Amino acid sequence: MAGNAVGLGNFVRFPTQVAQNGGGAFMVPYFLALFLLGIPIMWVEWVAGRYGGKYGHGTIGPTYYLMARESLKPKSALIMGTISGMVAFAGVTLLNSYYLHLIGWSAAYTWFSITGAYFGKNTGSFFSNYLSNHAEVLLFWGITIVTIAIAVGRGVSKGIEKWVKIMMPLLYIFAIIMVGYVFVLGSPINPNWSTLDGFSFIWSPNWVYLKEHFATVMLAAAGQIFFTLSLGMGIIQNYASYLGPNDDVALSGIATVSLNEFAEVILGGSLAIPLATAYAPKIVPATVLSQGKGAALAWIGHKFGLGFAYTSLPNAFVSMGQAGRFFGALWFLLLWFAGWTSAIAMYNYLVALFEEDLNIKRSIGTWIVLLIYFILGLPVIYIGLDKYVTPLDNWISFQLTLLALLDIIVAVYLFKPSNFWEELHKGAYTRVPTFYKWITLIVAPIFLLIPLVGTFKGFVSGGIPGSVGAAIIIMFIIGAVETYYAIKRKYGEEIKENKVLVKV
Amino acid sequence: MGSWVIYMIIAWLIILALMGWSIGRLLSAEKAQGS
Repeated sequence: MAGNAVGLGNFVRFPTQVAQNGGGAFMVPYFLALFLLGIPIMWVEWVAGRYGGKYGHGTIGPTYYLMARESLKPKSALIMGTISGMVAFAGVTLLNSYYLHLIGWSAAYTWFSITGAYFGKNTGSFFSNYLSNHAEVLLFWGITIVTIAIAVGRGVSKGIEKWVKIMMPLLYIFAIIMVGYVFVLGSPINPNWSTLDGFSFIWSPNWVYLKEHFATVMLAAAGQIFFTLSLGMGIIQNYASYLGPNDDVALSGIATVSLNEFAEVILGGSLAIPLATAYAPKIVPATVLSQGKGAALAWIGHKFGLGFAYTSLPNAFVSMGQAGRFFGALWFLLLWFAGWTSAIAMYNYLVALFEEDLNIKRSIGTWIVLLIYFILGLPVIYIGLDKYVTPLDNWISFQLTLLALLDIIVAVYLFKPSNFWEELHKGAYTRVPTFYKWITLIVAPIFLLIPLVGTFKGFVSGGIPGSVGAAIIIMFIIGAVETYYAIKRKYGEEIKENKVLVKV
Repeated sequence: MGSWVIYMIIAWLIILALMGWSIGRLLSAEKAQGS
């Protein structure tokens, strides 16, 4: 599970979010979200997944129908199950439409490191040139999605697990060495721009920025917590559905969160931002540089979006001379593999959805998902970062937060808080402090509602370009139809009679 | 160096403590179950 949780969210998306949302201003709600949302929602999703597994479900729609049924009549529970399944389906498909490209970029940068393509160049311009070379982007993205489809289609999870056991520890070790290198790198090109200034940007609370952009930063922080922990998209529920009814979820949930946070905050937070600060004079225009470090990092964050890490990290490898080619290739290869394994988990969720919910053969489901990914991924290439990827990524933060709220509404309130608490402690290796029950019941929903309400108006009043809006609406419709049909197919009789008939 | 160093060290220590505690406890619980 930790192998799945550690991925590009830590090393690519996290520094981008920090840079785009005021550095230290972002870290305050980020830590609040970690303890008030990340940990409790992780428990909620593990409990929900294990509960669904008892009925043979690994997807959100039928699972949330069953949980909602504890308080509602089957007809009303069907609505809640459908809404939850719809949001999860749209979340996984939309997120992967650009996440798979990030993996493709990592594959490309593995190659660029071997060939030394970015050595001696402005890494910002190099990244932009790469994106404008559509054939090259298509090639590396195509290799990525086809290899994922083959791995999922052939069910080679055991073979992959062996590689995860080698590659993931290697990624951790390499990242720790890189953090040490970044600390001692200092000011490689300009004495006024040091890697330590980057650390200062992250770790100096910026209350003024937070106050001015409160709802946006809150949403970005909550969204990043969910993105990085694979929450709010059905993946955790799918994984937990394979657990036995008395397997621990309480301690495993915290262990998953803490391992991921180590990779994100300590490792991911100490690489791209400090490097971007030290090399900003090479990438950022002089007029922006004169406005200070925060402005320079925000400029990189907005100009290159999720390409932030791809414009900053290569500089570290260039500074190593010819050895940097090897280390750069190794780094991006490990990053590619981390993203690739995370993508497999998400791909598996969608295939499971077709297999379990709609009785479609695994081999056919695999190709349907590949087709969906291919169609959804094309706008990333042809519409681009500014007009497609960045607004969609912002929307994903909203959508993950929305599903987290649905998690609490369905898997805690409708399932009944006492049931949730009892389920959480079944087979648990640790006792969860009672105050966490109140955090889950009261604090977390309020925390979720603040950014949802505060940013919703911005999204609907022109915050989303038409192409992104169309993709969102289409995925919501497909998700709703699929989930509704899946629940009706399995529980049609009891829904018709509006009376609970199936009980394990 | 400013106060950011202190904030960073505190945050790192919290994460490391959480990781050490949870993984240590998970491993010992699984070991106990296995024996």
